[in-house]
Amino acid sequence: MRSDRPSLPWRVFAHAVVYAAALAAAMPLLWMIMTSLKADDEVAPDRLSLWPRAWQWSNYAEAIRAANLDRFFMNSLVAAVLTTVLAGFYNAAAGFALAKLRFRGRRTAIWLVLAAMMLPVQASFIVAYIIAARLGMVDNMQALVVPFIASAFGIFYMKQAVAAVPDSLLEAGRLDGMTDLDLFWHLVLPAIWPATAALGTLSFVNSWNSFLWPLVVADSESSKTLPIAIAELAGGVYVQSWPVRMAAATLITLPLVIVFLLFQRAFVRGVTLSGVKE
Amino acid sequence: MAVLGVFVLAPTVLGLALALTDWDGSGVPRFVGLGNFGALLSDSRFASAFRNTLVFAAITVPAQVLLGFVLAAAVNAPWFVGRAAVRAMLFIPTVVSIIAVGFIWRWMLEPRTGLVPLAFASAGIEAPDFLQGGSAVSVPMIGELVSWPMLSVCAVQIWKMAGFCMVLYLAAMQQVPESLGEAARVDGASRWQTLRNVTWPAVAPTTTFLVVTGLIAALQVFDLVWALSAMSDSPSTRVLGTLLFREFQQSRLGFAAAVGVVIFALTLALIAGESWRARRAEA
Amino acid sequence: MRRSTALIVGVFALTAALVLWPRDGLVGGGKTIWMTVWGMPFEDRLFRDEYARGFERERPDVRVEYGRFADVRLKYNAWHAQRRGPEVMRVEATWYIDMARRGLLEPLTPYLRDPQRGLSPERFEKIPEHLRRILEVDGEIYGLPQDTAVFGLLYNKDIFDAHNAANPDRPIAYPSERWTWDDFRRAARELTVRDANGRLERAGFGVALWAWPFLTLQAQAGGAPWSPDGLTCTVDDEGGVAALRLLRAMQREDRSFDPLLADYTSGMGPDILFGLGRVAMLMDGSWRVANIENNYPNLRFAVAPLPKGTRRAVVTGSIFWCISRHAKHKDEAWEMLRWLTDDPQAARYWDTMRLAPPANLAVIRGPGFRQTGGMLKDPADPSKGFEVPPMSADQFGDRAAWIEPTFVAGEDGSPAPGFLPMHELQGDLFAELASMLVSYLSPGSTQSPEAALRGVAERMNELVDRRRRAAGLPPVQRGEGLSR
Repeated sequence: MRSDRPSLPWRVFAHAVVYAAALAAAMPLLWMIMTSLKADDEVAPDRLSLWPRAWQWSNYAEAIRAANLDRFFMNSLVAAVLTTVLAGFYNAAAGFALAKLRFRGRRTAIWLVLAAMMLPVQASFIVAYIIAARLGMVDNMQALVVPFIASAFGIFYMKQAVAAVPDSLLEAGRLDGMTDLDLFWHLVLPAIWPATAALGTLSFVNSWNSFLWPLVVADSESSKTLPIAIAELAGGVYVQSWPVRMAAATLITLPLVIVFLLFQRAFVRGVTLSGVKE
Repeated sequence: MAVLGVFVLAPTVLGLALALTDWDGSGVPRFVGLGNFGALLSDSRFASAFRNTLVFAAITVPAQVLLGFVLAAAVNAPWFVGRAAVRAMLFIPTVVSIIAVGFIWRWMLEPRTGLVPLAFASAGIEAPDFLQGGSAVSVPMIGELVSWPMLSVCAVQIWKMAGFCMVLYLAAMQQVPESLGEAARVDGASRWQTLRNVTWPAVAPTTTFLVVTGLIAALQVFDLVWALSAMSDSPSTRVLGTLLFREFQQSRLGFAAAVGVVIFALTLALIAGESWRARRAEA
Repeated sequence: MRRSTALIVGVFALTAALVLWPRDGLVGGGKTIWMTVWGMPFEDRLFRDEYARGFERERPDVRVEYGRFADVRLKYNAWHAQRRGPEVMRVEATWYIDMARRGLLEPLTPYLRDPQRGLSPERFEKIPEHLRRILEVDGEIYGLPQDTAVFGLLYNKDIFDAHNAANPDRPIAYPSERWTWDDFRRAARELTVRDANGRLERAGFGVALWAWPFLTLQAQAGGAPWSPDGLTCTVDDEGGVAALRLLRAMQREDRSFDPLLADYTSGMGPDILFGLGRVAMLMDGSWRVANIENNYPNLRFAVAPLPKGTRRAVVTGSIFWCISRHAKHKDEAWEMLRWLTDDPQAARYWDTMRLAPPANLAVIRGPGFRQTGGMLKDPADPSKGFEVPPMSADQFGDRAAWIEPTFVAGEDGSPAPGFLPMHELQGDLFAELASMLVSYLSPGSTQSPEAALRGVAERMNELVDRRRRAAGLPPVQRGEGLSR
C-alpha cells in the first residue's frame, strides 16, 4: 500500500485544494453567523471585520419578535416531522409494490412515476391548489403534509432500494405464509432501512425549506411556516437590518444542520444503496 | 399513489390543458388552441428567459457534477486526512433553506459591503454588479451570452449542489473494489489514467443519476433565482421558472401553463438526449 | 392481531386522521364576515385589534374573522378560482382595475347611492379629488380608498447647515416646493463629497430605482405613462425622455447620484445611506419617515414637497377597501367599509402607523394629523420602545406638513399636484420601468433614453394587444413615432 501513495507535494496540494473548497463552502455560513451577532452600524462598508465587536444576541430576539418566529417554529416542525414519517412509509410501500409485486398496470405506474419526476411544479400548482382547496386543505396542517406523503422521486428512489433486496428472501417469507404486508414490514423495511432514513432526511429538509407551496396554500397565521415568515423580514416597508435578517437566516438553518449532522451516517449509507444501483 | 395522482398527475394534465386556454381564474376557460404558444414566441421576455434557462443548465450541471467528482476522488484517497469534516462542510450548503441562501448571498454580493466585491477590490479589480443591472459577460466569438447577475445565480447553485454530488460520488466510490485500481496501477497506468479509465466508468450510474436529476432541477429552477433577485422578476436573471410564476401572479394562467409546457418539453428532450448518450457510452 | 398488521393499521389511521381531521372553514356560519389584509405582524394591532374588534362592538351580531397574508394577491386570485372571497379585502391600487375587470370585486355603486346607507356627497368629497377620479372602472366604483401614500424629498438638515456654515458665500436653502429641477440639481451637486480617490463619500441625492421616481419626473416634465384611452403606452414621450436625461445627468455629469446604491432590498439602499448621513437628499415615500425616525433617532432630518419641473406633480399610491363578488354578507361588508373609512377609523390609521395619510381630507386637515401617538413594540411593556415612534406637535413642521400641499390646487389655478396613474397593466408597467432604470443607469450603459423607453412602451403595447386579441378585438393601430 505504501508504495501507492503519491508524492508528498502532490498530497499537500490535494489537501489544500479540498480544504479551500470546503472553506469556500462554509464561509458564507460563517459570515452569516458573524453578521447576525453584529450591531447595525458595524455593517457599514468601512467598518467591516469578521468578528463582531460586541456580541449582539439581541438580534435574535428582535428577529423572533419582528416576524413572530416562535409561533411558526412549531408549524414548521410538526409539518416536517409528519411529512418525514408518512412519506418514509408510503414511498417505501409504493416502492415495494412497484419493485416486487406483480400486478396489472405496473409498467404504466412506473412510467407515470418517471414522468411525474420531470414535471415542473409550477406548471401544476394552481390546479393542485384548487384541488387542495376543494378538499379543505388550505391554511391548515393537512395542506402542508398530505400532498407530500408520496413523491415521484421518493417512490422511484425506494423502488431502486427495494430492487436490491434479494427475491429469495421474499420467497422464503412467502413460504412461511407471510402476507405481502408482513413481507413489507418484517423483511423489506429492515433491509432498506438506510435508504428510508436517507429519504427521511431529504423529506425533512424539503418540508422544512419548502417555500412556494406554503406561500400559495398556507400563509395565514395559523399555518404559516418559517420560510414565509422570514421572507417577510426582507419585504414590505419595514425591511429589517442585515444583522437581524442574518439572525433569522441562522435560526432557520441551524435545525437542518443539526438534523444532517445527526443523520449523516444514515444518509450516506442510504445513498450508497440506491444512488449507485441505478 | 392516490396522493401522487391527486396532487401531481391530475394537476399536471389539467395544467397542460390549461395551456390551450386563456383562463384568468374566473369564468369558463376559453379554448384558444396554440394561441398562447404564438404569444410566447412573440414575447420579448420569453427569448431571454429561454436562453438564461439553458445557460443555467449548461453551466451548473457539468460544473457541479465534475466538481463533486474531483472532490470525491481526492477525499476518497486512503491518505486523505479529515474526510468526515470536509464532507460535512461541503454538504451543509445543500440543506440550507433557500430563503437563507437568498439572504446570505445577497449580503455576500452586495456592491459596497459584500465580501466578494471587497475581495475583488482588494485585488485591485473593479467588480461588476453581481446582483442587478444588465452588465453582461462577453464571451469571445459568442458575444454577450449571460449577465453577471445570472452568473452569480449559477455560482450559488454550484455552491449549493457540489457537496451533494460529492457525497453521492463518495458513496459510489466506496463501492468500487480497491483491487480494481490497484490492478490498473500494477499494469502501469498513471494516477490520472486510473481515475479516468477505472473510477469514472465505475461510477457512471451515479453520473447519470446526477446529470438527469440535475437537469430536471436546473430547467425548473425558480426559488433560487427568485430569492437572489429579492423576490422579484428581474430581467437580468429571468428564467422560465420565474417568468411562469410572474405570469401566474398576474393571473394569466393559460399563458403561464404554456411556459410550463415548454419547460416540460425541454426536460423531456434533454433527458432523452442524455439517456441516449449514456446508452451509447455503455455500448 | 400480529404486530406488523397493528403497526400498519396504525400508520393508516394516522393518515386517515390527518386527512379527515375537521378543518375549521374560513367562512363560518351566521353573520361571520371575513377581512383580509397583508403587512407586517405588528399591523395586526390596528387591523385586528382595533378595526375587526371595533366593528364587532359596533355590530354585536357580527363576528369578524381576520386574516393577514404574506402574498394576499395570490390568495385573492386562488380564492376567486374557487368562487370564494372575503367580505372586506384590502386591495393595492396597482391591482384594482385588473381585479375589477376580472370580476373579483363587487360593484359598490348601489350601496354608495343608497339614501340611507350610502355616502353623502360631503362624505364622498373628503376623498382627495385625484383619487375620486380613478375610482370608476368602466362606469362602476369597486372600492373606497383607505390611504394615499405620497412621494417627497427627505433631507438631512445637518448636511445643509454644515455646508452653509462652511460656504457663507453660496448658501443652499432647505428644499421647498418652490424648488425647480435646476435648484435641486445644484443642491445635489454642492452637497456631494468625494474622497481623494474620487470615491463617493456622500451623495447629494439618492433614490431607489423603481417606477415612482420615473413617473413623478415624467409628469413634472409634462408627460404621462398612458394615452388618455389607455390603449397606448407613452412612457417614451418627451416628459419621459426628460426624466431619464435628468437622472443620467446627475449620475454622470454632476456625479451627485450613484444608481448602484439604489436598491432598497440590498440592505445598503439609499434609505439606509440617508440614515447614516451619506446621502443628503432622498426621494422616498411617506412610509419612510417614521421608519427612519425609528432606526436613526439622532438624525436631524425633515421632508419637503418634491421640486417641480415645468409643472408640479407628485405621484401617490393608494390602498382600497373592497368587497369580494363572492362574499356572503355584502350588506355587512358595505357597512364595515363605510365604518372603516369614517373619520375616527381613518384618523387611527395615521395616529398608529403613520405610513401614509388616510384618504380623507377632513382628517388630513384636522388636529389629529398634527401629532400622533405611535405604536409601542409591546403594549404591556413600554420600556421596549416603539414600533412606530409618536410624532409631537413641534415635529409636525419637519415631518408631516409637506403632505397636505399634494392635495391643494396652486394659487395660479393649476391643479393639485397629486396624481395616481391607473392602468390594468400597472403591475407589469412598474416591473418594466424598474428594470429599465437599472439597466439604463448601469455604469457602462450606452443606451439612449429614447431607446430605453421605447423598449418599455413596445413591451406594454404588446401586452395591451395580447389582451385585446384574447377578447376578440383587433390590435391597436398606433401611429409612427409613438412606437414601432
